[in-house]
Amino acid sequence: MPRHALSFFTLLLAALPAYSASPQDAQGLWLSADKAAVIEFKPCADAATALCGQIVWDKDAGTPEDTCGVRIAKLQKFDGEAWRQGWVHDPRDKKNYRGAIRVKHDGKVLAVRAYIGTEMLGETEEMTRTDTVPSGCKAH
Amino acid sequence: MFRSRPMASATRTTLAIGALCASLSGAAFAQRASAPATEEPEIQSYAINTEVKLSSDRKTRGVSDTFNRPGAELTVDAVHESGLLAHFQLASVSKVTFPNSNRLNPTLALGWRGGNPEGVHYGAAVAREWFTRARVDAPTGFDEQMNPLGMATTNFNTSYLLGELGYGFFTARYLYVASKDFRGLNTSTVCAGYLPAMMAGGDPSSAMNCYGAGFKHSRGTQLLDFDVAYPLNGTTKLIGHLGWQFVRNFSAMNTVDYRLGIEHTRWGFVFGAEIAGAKARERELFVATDGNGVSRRLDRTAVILSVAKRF
Repeated sequence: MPRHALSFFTLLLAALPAYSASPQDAQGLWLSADKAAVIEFKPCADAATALCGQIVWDKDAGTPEDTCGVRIAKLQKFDGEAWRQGWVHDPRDKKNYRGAIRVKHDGKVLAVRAYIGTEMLGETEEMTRTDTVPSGCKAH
Repeated sequence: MFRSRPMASATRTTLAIGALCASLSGAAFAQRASAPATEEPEIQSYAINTEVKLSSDRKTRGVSDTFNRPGAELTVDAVHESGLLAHFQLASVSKVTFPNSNRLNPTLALGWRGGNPEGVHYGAAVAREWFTRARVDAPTGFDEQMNPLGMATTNFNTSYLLGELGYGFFTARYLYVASKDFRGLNTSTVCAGYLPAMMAGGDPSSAMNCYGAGFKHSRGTQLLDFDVAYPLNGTTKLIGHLGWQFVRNFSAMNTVDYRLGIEHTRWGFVFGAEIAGAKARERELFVATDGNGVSRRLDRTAVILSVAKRF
């Protein structure tokens, strides 16, 4: 391997973030990447040890595009690194995928990964923590 | 939520088949109405994704395939829960760099990927790219009176064996050229690159040494890539690439290529801006001349703008 390649790779590895998350860190309100929805993650009403995510604000609330109240994720188990063993729902194509949810960047980012079979064949949406739920959705 | 179905999307690295990596695209939140997911819903076992991309230049390993002009790509990726994946790309190329072609460059790859996107991940694939109808007839050598000793017809179709290993955002990829030639590189095509300078009164020794080694192919060429796709936020990624090309029997064609840029997702499109180019060992071999006599350096560093739409 060329010497410069090794140096380049070493430098990139050094840039990797390190953050140790607890199961509770994923709970709370999260703003979607395009800032068009807020999702609340909390223990599932029907399974207290599982984590569920539900849309609590949608910028299109009250229109035919309304997704208020849609459950978009249910993960059964936290393995020390991520919530796994469950599914993530894509309200756009109305399909469900295997899912994994991680808290990153000192708890500021929620990485919701949906995938086919193996996590490598997937796509991640990064949400940012928020404190407020704009008005729009009726209570669910 | 996720704008496109999760899958191994083509992230257009310098070589299309090298793009067998899962996309980490920041996706716009879908706004379509949907019934709430059921408690135990059916999980998708496969996905198919399509992307159309326009760019101000199409470079492969830092060298323009489009004579430094705009290009287009249509990419279809399919993945299965077993980890198997298929990648098809139809890209545009220039007739100047690929003579007699119909300007199309289809690529097909079949492979497998596994591992953890946050940790160690790996994959393997076989791939082939075609340059439909493209071929070049060129002398295999010259006698002392500069009369051709013979002619060879060369196409540009190339087959690859690919292996990759990564950690998090970083991926190292190794490709081995299994076809007779790597993108048409053999004695008749490579050595012809020295002729313009010789005809202009330059030193003929480079051309004579090249032809004098006998007719050789470039099977066994090795390509090594390092790529990073670092999410700056939910909608923007930093893209970096460093690659080495070691051409078997023709070290003059060896290159180091690079890309650095960003990709930003907005309004359902992925906008890209990057600086890309290559450092060639012998730059005169990376100059192409069109029918009007216009010559361009294909390995030049260029700012490339792109827009892509995923379906």
